[in-house]
Amino acid sequence: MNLVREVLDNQLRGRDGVKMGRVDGIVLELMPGAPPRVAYIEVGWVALARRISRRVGRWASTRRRQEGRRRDAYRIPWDRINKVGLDVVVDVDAERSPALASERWVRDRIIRRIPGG
Amino acid sequence: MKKALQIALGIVTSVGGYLEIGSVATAVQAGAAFRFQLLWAIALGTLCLIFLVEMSGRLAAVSHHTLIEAVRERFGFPFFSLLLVVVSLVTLAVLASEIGGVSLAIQMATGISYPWWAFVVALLVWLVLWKGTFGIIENGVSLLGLVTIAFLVGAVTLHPSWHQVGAGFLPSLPKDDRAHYWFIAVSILGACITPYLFIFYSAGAVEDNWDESYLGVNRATAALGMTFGGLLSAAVLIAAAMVFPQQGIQIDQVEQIPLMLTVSLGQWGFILFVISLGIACLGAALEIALALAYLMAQGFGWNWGEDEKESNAARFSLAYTVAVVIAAVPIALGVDPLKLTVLTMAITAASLPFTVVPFLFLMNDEEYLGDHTNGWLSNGVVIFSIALAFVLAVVSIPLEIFGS
Repeated sequence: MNLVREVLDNQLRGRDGVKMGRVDGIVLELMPGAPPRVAYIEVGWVALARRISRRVGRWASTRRRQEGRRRDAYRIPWDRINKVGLDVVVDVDAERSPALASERWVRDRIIRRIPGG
Repeated sequence: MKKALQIALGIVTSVGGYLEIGSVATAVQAGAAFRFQLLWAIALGTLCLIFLVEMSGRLAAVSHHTLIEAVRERFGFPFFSLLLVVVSLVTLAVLASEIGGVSLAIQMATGISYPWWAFVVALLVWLVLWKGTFGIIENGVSLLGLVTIAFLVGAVTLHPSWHQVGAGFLPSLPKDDRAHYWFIAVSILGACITPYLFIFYSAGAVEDNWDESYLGVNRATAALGMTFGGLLSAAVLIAAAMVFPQQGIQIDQVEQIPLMLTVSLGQWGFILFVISLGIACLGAALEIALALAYLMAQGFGWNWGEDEKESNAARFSLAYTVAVVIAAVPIALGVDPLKLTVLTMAITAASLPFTVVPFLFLMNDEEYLGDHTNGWLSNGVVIFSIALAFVLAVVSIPLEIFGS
């Protein structure tokens, strides 16, 4: 499989089909004596920042640690991926996942407070 | 029968949605300064637009992915982030111009100056987006936009020499003022081939659930709709060319522009001009605000859709809300909408490589298009458009300085 062409940047959907961002990064695991293994896909702006340049990535990572987060991005283990295609479907409940944290924040704090929202 | 109705509707939509402040302002300037001599620029821009709009519709109908989604997927985040920054800034400036256009129309009708109307207009745009559906925006507003046919009536009743009009479709150079001539030519092309149209059109194809059976509808809509739309732009240019040079008027006052219809249509001309300008710019503002939200949501993989309940597409709804508010600020502060428009059309031209280059790669990608990849003609037009886009990108800024 060509990871960059077929997985990276593709639309990510939860098991119920809900859109939950895009595949912003792919994490490979290197073990001595074994071929590299795809461990996780990542969702989040720090993963994106790292792809712009190393410096932007380091800056984003520091910012996120200062916010008190342990990890740079939300990681989904490779074995939770159900389907790879133009859309990547993962075995995750999108509505509760950290990938939609900002969507929930905007919905509850802003949109629902506007009449009709 | 159903398809015929859809084609008719599609054409009405494109005709009603074609004219906006950019095409009106650039065509008026061209007609006033160079009579029919710049008609070729409208024809060239419309021809490129027909092909590019057809492609963005075909991509969406076959792959169910919009242009922006495909760009993020195929070109990766670093390229997308550049496109996002450039296209967002340019498109926000266009949105500000349209809000300015509606505000100007209200100023002409009420006598109260345009900065006071900026946030009223922004609120109106936002309310339609918040409460309305995609169908209302696509069909309702563009049906109202048919009033812009008044320009065609205006142009014909001025009895231009059709021989001279025809000659305008062949490019020729003026004796003097060449920098200004080329500046307006570039602005006309920028007003024609504008990125928000592709973003809006391909997202619309997905919102309307197009599939491969819509390829014929898509082709007919793009070809006929854009041709009629281009015709309206040409009519604005012709009417301006008939009225302004003869009266020795240089266009620097907004109040003079309705003259292009009042000379032949009298008091009704003024009313039709004001309504046409207001509705055309309002329709464009709706499409552009949506295009900005599509750009963000599709690029980052958020849930999107004008028919979704706002709380189901929260970040998408927030995106158009913020866009409308930001775009109203310069107009409320008193920035001249006409000057802003002309400047914006030139920077749109400068940004074209970002939006046009991806077509060449995406439209030949079998994973997206299966058997419907580009033929030689479409690829030829894309390559020509890319070359044109790079020329425009290089010359637009110097021309801005020397020709505006």
